[in-house]
Amino acid sequence: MNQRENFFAMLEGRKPEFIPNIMEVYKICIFGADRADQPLVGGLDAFGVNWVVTKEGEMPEPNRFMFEDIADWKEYVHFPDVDALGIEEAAKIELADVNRDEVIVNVYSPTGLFERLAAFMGFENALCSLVEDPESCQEFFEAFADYKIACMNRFIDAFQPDVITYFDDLATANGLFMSPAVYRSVIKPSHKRIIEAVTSRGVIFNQHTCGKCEKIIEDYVEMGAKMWSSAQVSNDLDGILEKYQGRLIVEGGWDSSGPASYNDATVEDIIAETVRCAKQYGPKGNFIFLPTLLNENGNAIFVGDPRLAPMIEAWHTVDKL
Amino acid sequence: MEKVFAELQEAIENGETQAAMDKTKDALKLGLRTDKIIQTAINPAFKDLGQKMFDGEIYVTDVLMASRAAHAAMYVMEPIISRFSGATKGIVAIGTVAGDLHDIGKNLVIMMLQGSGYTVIDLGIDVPVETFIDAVRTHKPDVLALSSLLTTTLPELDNLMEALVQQGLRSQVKVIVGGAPVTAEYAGRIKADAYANDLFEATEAVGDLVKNRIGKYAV
Ligand code: B1M
Repeated sequence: MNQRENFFAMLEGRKPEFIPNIMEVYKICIFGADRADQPLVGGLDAFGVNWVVTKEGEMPEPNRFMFEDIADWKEYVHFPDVDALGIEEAAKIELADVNRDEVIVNVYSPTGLFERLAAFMGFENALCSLVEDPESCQEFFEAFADYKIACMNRFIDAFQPDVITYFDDLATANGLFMSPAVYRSVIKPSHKRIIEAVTSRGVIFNQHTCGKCEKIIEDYVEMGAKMWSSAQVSNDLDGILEKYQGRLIVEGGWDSSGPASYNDATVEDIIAETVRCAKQYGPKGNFIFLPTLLNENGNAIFVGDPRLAPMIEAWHTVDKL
Repeated sequence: MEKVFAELQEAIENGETQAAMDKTKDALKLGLRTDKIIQTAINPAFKDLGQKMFDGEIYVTDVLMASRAAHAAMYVMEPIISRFSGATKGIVAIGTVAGDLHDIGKNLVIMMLQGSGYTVIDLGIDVPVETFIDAVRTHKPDVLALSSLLTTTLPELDNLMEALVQQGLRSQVKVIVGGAPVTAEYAGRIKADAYANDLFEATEAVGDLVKNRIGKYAV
């Protein structure tokens, strides 16, 4: 089986021939997101939020909020014209050399419902608003979901992706930002519409949520997500892999805040973490390896790192199934 | 008297800002001292919340709302506290290290420290070593608090410790470090004074540091 066939075997709950890693299974597309959600090199996004970049990554400029009271959102939020974003052009550039028979085309859609609210008003204001003024939040989420859905449809037309990965960080290393009840009543209805818009067009929905979010994995599955990404070790990954066999592919596994992610992690440390992931999660069958290897220049996958080659070699050599 | 403390504690735990202000005013009207109010109502509220957070019973939203309520209580007491110089429990300068823009954890630690009666100087995010050093010279804080959420920015903690020694400032300030990739072992290795895993531990640890106590979170 090639990467593509193997991926679909996993997705359908059949036994894969091998356990993939994200570097080899995907053609990851980020140029659409650059235009619709967050500019890759920082600066103003299509909503007028300023993104600041360090070599590790980017985020909305802290302490510079568009509004602080969610009740005011309509005054400040002007939805971009999806026709004018240039998504088709982005797709042409990014898909120029892709072999669709071999790999999975995975289009990234960052800055989900909650993160977008936080981009406008800061994380703390956004979190307090969920509790203090849920009605205004719901109204905002509904409107933003309309925009996201329009973008998703454009992504689907232009990229013809197999997978869309939708990013929304809803958890810390210790638990959810908000209670499951708040998530379910305020965010989930709009989240569900976004998921259904994607899956109704035959595209696989991959939900990215960092941190310990295990309390709402069932919600993701129930809404139609077939994959969960950035699955971190603060969750009971063994239990989740087992519980959702044949229903959910878990992408992650790497202890991203642990010593194997430190700048001074040795090749041996990295191989040990790779082997741990392979042996612990591989046998379950519904797992994709997503290492978080950062170095002083940024994310190793994008900026290069001499430790990557031995890591991939170790991944290939170790018995996973 | 006990009733008002219990009611204030409850208002804070429930994140009820108005009630927290009202109960603080009631307590002051009864002639209760501000330090007694902080010790008997605000600190226990956070202790309780810390345990609940640890047990997974409450979430960041709840802690944020509680911090806001505690701030409101502190706001009511502020004019009285500032009338007595030295009434602050201590000065803490805090920042997220260079290269790192994460600020939710740092801000929660700040809210908690302020809510517990400390004066906090927020140096912001992406703070270079030189700014921390300047802050030690200018503000003479009792405690320097550093947050790092990225593994790649951990070496900034080492750099700061080295700079403090080189500049002859190490004995003047206690250093506490925290953030997801930081561990007690790491803190020990760089010779920080304390490590805290969350905002509640951070507040307790700062309490020990300003009193020069070797506490539970010393490394
Ligand atoms: C001094 O004394 C003390 C004492 C205690 C102290 C302390 C100081 N500081 C903290 N504490 C302690 O008390 C606090 C309160 O209890 C606690 O603080 P925490 O900050 O831990 O907890 C907070 C209350 C809530 N927790 C958080 O806010 C962090 C949660 C996670 C999901 C997270 C979030 C939310 C975000 N992120 Co970021 N993010 C992650 C996080 C995952 C995780 N497992 O932690 C992490 C930290 N991020 C990561 C990454 C990679 C990134 N993020 C980025 C961006 C973002 C968002 C904008 C989406 C958002 C941040 C918003 C903001 N304004 O801060 C980028 C970095 C930008 C930059 N240069 O800094 C970006 C590079 C992503 C990208 N591709 O752009 C990872 C780091 C991996 C590594 N090896 O270092 C990560 C572990 C997630 C992952 N995928 O693995 C304790 O640690």
